[in-house]
Amino acid sequence: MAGDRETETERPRERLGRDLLIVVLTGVALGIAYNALASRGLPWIKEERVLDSVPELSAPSPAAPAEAPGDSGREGTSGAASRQLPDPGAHPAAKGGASREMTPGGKAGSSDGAERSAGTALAAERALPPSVPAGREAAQGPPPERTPQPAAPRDDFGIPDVARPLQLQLPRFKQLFDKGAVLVVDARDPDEYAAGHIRGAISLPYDEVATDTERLAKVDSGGRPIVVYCGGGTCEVSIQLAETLIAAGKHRVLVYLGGYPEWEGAGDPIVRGNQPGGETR
Amino acid sequence: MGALASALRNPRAVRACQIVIGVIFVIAALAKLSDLEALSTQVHNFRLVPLWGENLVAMMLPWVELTAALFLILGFRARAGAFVLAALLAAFTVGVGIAVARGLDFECGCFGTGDHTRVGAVKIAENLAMLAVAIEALQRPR
Repeated sequence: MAGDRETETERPRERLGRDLLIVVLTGVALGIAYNALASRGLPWIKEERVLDSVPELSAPSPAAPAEAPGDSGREGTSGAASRQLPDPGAHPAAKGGASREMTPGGKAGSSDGAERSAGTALAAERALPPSVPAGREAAQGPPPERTPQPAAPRDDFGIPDVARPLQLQLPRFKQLFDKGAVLVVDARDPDEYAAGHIRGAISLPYDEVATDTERLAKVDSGGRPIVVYCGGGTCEVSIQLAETLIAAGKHRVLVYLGGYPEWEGAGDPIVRGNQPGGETR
Repeated sequence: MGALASALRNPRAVRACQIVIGVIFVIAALAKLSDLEALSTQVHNFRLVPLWGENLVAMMLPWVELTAALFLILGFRARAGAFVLAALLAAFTVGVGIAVARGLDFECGCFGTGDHTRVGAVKIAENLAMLAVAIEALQRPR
């Protein structure tokens, strides 16, 4: 650019342009270098985060996940469940290798192949009072008359134990909620929590606990799956908190993407105040 | 040239502004660098950069800030550093303005995850004040 001019006689504008380039390129180069060397470097191109669904009980296929809550009463939903719920313990052959750890990839096949499973997990669910930490109970004591002792550890409530969060739609969440079968976690800020939250949900504001390993370790779901939610819509701290919880060693962490607005809009139980039980509305 | 213009070009005033804005940006850049993943999420919150570019922004932005700020403080190609920071501040201000206009409400992350200021009028005013300092910092002293 400056050609044969001497640096001193360069016009200021040209020199500024070159200096700007130096500043920006140095920054970019350092950024790339730092990211390459950092232990938790970012991938260059961000992938869209798509959560796999928990196998849906109230919908015929993963392609049509969420029924309107009014359409599926408890009875209808349970009927659908007995058709779709995979039962690895009873039918290991039907599932092949997928029986031990049901991956969402195998989920598509599971919805049509599990007719004969006859809902043993559901039988276990029904036998439990809502407040019992149902997950562990079901794992240890399936009803003997229905199930031959399963060889593999079974998935409670059809929720597979995978090392990443799965998403949960309202009908299924409501079902688990009514049974007290899940620990509900609110990932929003404390003031939003106090203004109204899902009844019984504990508050774990992502912004506060993200780096607070002690507080994360104290979360005890009593063996139940954990359902994390936040403000719905474009809110993503629920996904982040779910990933953080999994990284902290929690199992079967689910994300309710509809979040508080959908829950409240459906007229499901909410409370106000800064306690899980709050003050019932 | 009026008295104001010459006052703006007072070498001491320019130098003081260079150091002030430089230090602010060094702090901001280091805070952002402490958690690039969180920064990428913050970039996402603004919804101005396409998803595929969010990590690139998170990767480069703090280092461009840091480089420009250090150049500015050290007085090495200081005007270029001040230009970059002023441009970034202008872009941030517009970004926050757009977010507010869209009704988004999230923590700015302008100073990393420790900054709990939410996007809004206060943040815009803060940015405009810093922009004024940055513009002063890029004056050619005389």
